[in-house]
Amino acid sequence: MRRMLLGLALVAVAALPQAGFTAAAPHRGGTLVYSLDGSPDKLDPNLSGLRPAQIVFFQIFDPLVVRDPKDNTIKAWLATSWSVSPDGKVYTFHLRSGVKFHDGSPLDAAAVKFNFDRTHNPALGTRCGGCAMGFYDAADVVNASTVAIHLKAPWAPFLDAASLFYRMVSPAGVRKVGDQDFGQHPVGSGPFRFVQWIPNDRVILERNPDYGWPSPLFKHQGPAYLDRVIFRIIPEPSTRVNALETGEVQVTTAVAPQDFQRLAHDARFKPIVGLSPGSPYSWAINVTKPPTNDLAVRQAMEYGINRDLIARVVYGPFQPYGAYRPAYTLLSPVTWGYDKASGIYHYDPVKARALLDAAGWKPGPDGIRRKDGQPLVIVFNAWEHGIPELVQAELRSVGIDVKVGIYDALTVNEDQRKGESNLSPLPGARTDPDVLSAFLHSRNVGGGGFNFSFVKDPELDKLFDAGATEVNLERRKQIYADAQRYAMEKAYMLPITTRDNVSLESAKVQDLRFDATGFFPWLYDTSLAP
Amino acid sequence: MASFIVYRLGHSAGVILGVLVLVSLMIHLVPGDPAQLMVGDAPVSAAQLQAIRHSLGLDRPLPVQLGSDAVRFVRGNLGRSLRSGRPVIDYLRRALPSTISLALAAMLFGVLVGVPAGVIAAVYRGRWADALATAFAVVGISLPSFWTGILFIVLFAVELGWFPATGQGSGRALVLPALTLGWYPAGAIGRLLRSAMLEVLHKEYVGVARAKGLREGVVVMRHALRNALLPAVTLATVQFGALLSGAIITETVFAREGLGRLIVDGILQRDFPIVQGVVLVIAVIYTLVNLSTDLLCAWLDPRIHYG
Repeated sequence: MRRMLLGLALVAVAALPQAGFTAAAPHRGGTLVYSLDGSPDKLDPNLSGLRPAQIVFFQIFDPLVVRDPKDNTIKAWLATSWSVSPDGKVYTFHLRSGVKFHDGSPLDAAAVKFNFDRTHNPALGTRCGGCAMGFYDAADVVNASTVAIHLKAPWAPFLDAASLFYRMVSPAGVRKVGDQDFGQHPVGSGPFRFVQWIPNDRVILERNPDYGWPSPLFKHQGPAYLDRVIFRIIPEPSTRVNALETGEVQVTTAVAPQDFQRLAHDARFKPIVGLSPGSPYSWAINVTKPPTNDLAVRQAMEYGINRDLIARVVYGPFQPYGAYRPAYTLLSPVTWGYDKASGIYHYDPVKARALLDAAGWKPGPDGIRRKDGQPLVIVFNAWEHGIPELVQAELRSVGIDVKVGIYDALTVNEDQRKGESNLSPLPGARTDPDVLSAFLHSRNVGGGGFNFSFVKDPELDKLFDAGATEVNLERRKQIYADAQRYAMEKAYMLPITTRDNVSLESAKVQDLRFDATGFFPWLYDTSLAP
Repeated sequence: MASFIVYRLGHSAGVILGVLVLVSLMIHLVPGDPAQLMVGDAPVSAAQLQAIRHSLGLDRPLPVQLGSDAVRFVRGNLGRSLRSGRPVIDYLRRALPSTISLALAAMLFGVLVGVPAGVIAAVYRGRWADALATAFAVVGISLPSFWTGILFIVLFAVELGWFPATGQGSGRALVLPALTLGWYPAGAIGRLLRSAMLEVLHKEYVGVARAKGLREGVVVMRHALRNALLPAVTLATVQFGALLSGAIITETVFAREGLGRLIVDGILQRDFPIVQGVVLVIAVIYTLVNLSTDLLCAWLDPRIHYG
């Protein structure tokens, strides 16, 4: 319900500035310039998992299925229908006929098999984080338009992965330039085809004139409206916004709150906000390092911070758009499997103090609590200012001394890996609730895994294992509700705000939507008013 | 002269080799896992990270990795970027002209503005022209380029609309980055030239020139400036190296491709072959610039001899 309300509010807000244009038919032609904050690595969906690369190559390559952000269900794209075996180990896809890659070769069952095999070829070292690593067994070409994917064990996030990460590359294109160089010469079946990539500057795509196989969730048929799409790599946030103001780019992402406030109500621009599923802006709480090995301390932190205030202070201009809202749960409200009831910690400094008192942490002369002579000091590392300073001030008032360190991502990561920080940030955009197992399953402790809470909890492992294999959607949802509630009771992580995609576009841009992740644009329906 | 050049080139080759070895060692020793950065926002399993490291050869012992780097270099192969798999030489081919044109444009601005500013400040010492030139120089030297760059964009691109906010492609796009990067050398050259001119203008031969009845313009330009120019030339060429490093910030602010962007990204992403490639190019440029400085000084001052 909350998700629906948010969605409705967002649609209403987004529709306001466009109201005057909606009647006009989309204009064909023009070049859309879309700014990226980082450089792609490889334009190769089989091998890359990096967001700037995905933003670009999702326009070049189509997936088998797609998640509809409206109702969070899986819809058809290259596959017209699909089925799952009762044991959850075989996924059979029936492919749309007549689909051709940009090089003219057919997209058939053999091509799909080629893609799955290539993604899971260990020699290629894929960086696709959402793919079925460890679960994929083999693909079977049943006939030219039917392919069966066999998994070693049931893996419930598979369809979600197929809707995002498994995008079909042309086997002929790969054979022509080799596995290593395909990412510089991508050939797919999508609405746009590759023209040129100038490193650190731009990637140029043009309309695929033969395109005729969009997912039914799009508004039109046939080729895309735009002649060209140029992705410009502009790392400096203020330059991205300035380039939007000068008209050099039409879409700019990751807009800073102060720029957003200045331009969101400017008639030349429109805010465009993608609400992101998966883990919100959550912080791993290290359960092995004192003092956060004490449950009372972790719970006092959960009760001691005023998330509503933090969201308003740090991300104030985004609040009316439903973005960067206070987060009380391990999954953001737009995620499939979100459990509102697991948000058990609301701001209550009195309770935080009482918990610490009861656990033997008594206030010292300087206001900082102590136990057995040890002061209550928490090391809080982050890669950006804002939230850490507010958390520091709020926890100080309940007697916790927070030492804030703002470093680059690698330094933060090193401290995380060595367990030198009590609190550290986590990545987490993902459309499947299985994302939580990356942060809390015991197998991801150490070795570069993302379990920076260092939690090894058999109870939780059991829930995540069940969630990863349960094919029944209702039962699966319940498993993740249990897991979220359990992990929050143990206060293994500290969610603070959601983390969304706040962008600005030129008022001329029509029908640019973000997919279910909130971050990847669908440019197929997009047009530019003359 | 020829034997001097040969000696200097041999010397430079040693320096470049040393730099390369040190940098290769350093970038490997700095903590940080390239594989972790390649997966970006996607939380992956520990097993998959290990597979990525293995595919890139990063799970081999450090001496083995450095050894294979050395073999590669000896064969004249700069390798491929860990991140993109694209040959490093491709990156350098694109980045080098971009950075050189930015550095040259900035230097041109530095000289065209700095030299007249220095001369005028010295000739009109203590007058308003001196104060103006000094203010220009001090502001240029003091302000950090990431800030002046953003100011220039806001003023000249967003408000006035004279130039694009991002600096790639056309000659017009080069103007703002060149101004940003060139203000510092303009100020530095102006300040240095002013004091050198003041010193020279009090020399006896300048008095003699005046006594011979030469016009003041000829005295200043032919007799004083030619002699005062030497330290400024040295400064300008040394500044050229500084411009290459200054390009790091300017290229980022203006979203230009170039060596600066390349090496910063390379370091942040722990993309070892990219860092090695850029360091090699920068070391070679530095060496050549220093060599040409020496030769230029010899040409300007016939008293300097190399043997």
